Amino acid sequence: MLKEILHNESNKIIKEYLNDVHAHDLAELFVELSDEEKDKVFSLLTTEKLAELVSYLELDEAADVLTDFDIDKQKELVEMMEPDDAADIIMELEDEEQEELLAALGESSDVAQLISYDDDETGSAMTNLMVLLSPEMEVKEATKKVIQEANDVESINTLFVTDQEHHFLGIVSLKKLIKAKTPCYISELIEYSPSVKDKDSITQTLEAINNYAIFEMPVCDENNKLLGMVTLDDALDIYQEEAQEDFERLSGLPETVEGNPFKTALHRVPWLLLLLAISVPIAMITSHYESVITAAAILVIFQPLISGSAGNVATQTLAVTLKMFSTNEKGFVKNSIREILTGMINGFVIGSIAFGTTFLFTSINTSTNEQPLKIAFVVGFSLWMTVFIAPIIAIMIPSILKFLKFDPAVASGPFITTLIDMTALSIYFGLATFVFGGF
Amino acid sequence: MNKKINFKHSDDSLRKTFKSIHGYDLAIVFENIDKDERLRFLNLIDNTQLSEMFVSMEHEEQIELFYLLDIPKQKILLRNLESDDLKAFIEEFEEESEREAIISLLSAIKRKAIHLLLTYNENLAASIMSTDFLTISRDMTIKEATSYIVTNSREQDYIDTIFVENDEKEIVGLIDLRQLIMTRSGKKIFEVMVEDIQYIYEYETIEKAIESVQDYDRNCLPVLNSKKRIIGIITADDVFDEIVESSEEDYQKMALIADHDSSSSAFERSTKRLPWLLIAVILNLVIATILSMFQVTLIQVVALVLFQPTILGMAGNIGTQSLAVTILGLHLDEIDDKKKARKHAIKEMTVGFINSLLLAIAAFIFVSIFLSIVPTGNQLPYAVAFVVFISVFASMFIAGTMGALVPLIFNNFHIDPSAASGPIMTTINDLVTLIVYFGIATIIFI
Repeated sequence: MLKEILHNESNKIIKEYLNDVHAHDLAELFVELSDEEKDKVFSLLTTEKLAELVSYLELDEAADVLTDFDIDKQKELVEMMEPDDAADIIMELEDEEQEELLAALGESSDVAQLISYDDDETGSAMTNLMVLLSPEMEVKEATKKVIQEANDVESINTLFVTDQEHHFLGIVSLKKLIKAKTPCYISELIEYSPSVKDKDSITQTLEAINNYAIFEMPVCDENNKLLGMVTLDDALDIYQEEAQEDFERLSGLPETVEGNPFKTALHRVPWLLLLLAISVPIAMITSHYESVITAAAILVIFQPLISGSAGNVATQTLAVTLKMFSTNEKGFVKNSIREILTGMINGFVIGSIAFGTTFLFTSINTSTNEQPLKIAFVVGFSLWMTVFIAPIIAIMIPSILKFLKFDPAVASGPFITTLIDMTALSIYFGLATFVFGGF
Repeated sequence: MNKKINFKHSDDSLRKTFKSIHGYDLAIVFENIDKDERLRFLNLIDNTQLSEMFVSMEHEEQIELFYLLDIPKQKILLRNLESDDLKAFIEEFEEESEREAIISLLSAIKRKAIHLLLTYNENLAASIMSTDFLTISRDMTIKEATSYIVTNSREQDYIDTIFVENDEKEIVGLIDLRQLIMTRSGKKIFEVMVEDIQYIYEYETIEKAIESVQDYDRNCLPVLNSKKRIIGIITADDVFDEIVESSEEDYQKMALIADHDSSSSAFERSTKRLPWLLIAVILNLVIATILSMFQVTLIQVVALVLFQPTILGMAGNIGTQSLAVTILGLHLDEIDDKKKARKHAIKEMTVGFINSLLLAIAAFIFVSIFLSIVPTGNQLPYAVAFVVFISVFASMFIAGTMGALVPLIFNNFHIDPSAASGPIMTTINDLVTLIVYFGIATIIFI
């Protein structure tokens, strides 16, 4: 659509169109354009709209677009963006370009300060484009300040009250301010508001925003001095990214990359090869029990049952454990005990059921074996044992990784399943050797 | 944020303490105190905090709290609730009579709003909307509009954005409160309002609403009926709740844990998870039945057993990968039409083909070496390796393809695509894999 307008309409109409369209829609249309068409768009956009467009582009594209301009224009654009958006894009630039731009912006700029925070610290997601009031202000004076600053801040729906030393005292909602009748001082309107610290982990802050259902969460330093705020719309975006990461890790999926199938395939294959490699011991363990397998070949047909169930149970516990780590929830020991108890109960129930059905199955199917009870016992009991042990492994592996300061999520579902397979088969064939000991 | 409250303090000092605690934390306080303390507590907090606290509670606690209040206080609480929270509270009552008892305490206007909200199906955007918003006419002056808002907005109203109607009551634009107080009072609303607005219709889904709020970074989205009249709004905090809920659901489904709650006991966890595990057990017994057909092959070619877990594992792994990519794509709305779905399926199949081939070659090498070092059975290492090669390739390719196609097909029939991550998929993959494996072995060796 944009393409047609660019080719068929006069500059004046294009300009008008570009001004009216929402930056999100413009960003979607923009990526489809050829280089020439993009240049034409650049020349017709106001700097303000251009800054908006860049904030809505994917990070790598935004970085590309930004570096097309000379350093002065870059600086101008960055200063027009919301500092948190700008910081994300700058992080995406090549080292040299990054340094040059940061030097141009100056050390004390908002963006430079944001970049000094770690990605998982709350400070990295905050913005300081907000209206500050002091408790001594009269309502009229405060309203005037709000109106003056309204254009330069991200939101004026919540106004933040600080004392002379910048300590955070509370908030006043715009609604309350405009309803207040003069004479009235801000100190009379002030409301309590929860706040977070700049060094708090971002997941904690997201949870707080969600729990308190507030649109602007104040961020303070350790001395309770107000530094900025995290807005709900930014919180939404960050939450979605984090959730996606958790999900990908659970399924053994490296971070998603866009690209042609061949690239994507190569990106995912190392994981698969690694999993193939760690399944070598499984074959070794099994070959150890060759004699019992030859003697009671029927055991083999129940093997998927044992390792499958153990794998399912382990994945369940793993998911719960990783979730606890990623949200920094307390009560890890209590949770682990519950998980292991759960494994015991579930193991007993499905073990008993497997015992019953295996017994029936082998009794009816007399051609297969002459010792239905023994087979049923081996299947049922090892199922119980493995389902009992699976949660223990699924808790231990990520805990050890965490203790060794590795990312606990490396122990994704597929990895744990392979480890569980080994344990499950050792128990299964071990018990079988014991029961059919004579062979 | 767990604050200890000392109930020995005087009323005045407690009142002060409570004033500086957010409703969400008050709800935690409420949960941990006895009945006498609760009654005193409820007398000391102000009405705004009461409603803030109320909405942070689970339904059972809400009921407990509600019946501790006298009728006038109950009415005040209900009046102060946003209509979406009020609806959620009423909806949880099973009995029609209980619902009506609550509804009868409402004002006539609110009663109508609640009856309307209760009619929407829970996956519709309209089911999470609130009816507490303000509209102004496009012909008002800024001054008129401002004084209208100041006099008419109630405590629970969302007024950060005001919606503009024409004479037919159709929505024609919106104006942010910010704009309103910044603009000179002589102008008319239609001169300064935003006309290019995002909205959704009452019959559209929650997902659509989530997407809109996220893409356009709006804090509030109007819901329209077919006559283009605004009937409610969806606010970003509600959207946040929905996103949290749906991404946790995806995660839990992928991990086969339905409705996990970190506070539930071991026994509760068992009962919730057992159904899935049992389904998996039964399906595995079906597999066992089918495998017993290959008994002869198994006895003759023992070496096959050694690599069975490997092959099952590889098929499972690639299946999980393509399933996860597809579910993510569907839920993040990157795959939102037929064309993109087809493109995605073809891409995943190509990826599956390449990786299956690579892994099959690796497995071939691994099996040949393994059997040369640890001789098992009477067959040539290369013959067994060849069977493994074919099986790894075929089963991985099939599992990868299924992982991409099943959720797409589910989505096409309006079934939640993450339902594909259950044990049924895994077990079907296992079954296919084993039939291929032992089937090929039977053909080659027997």
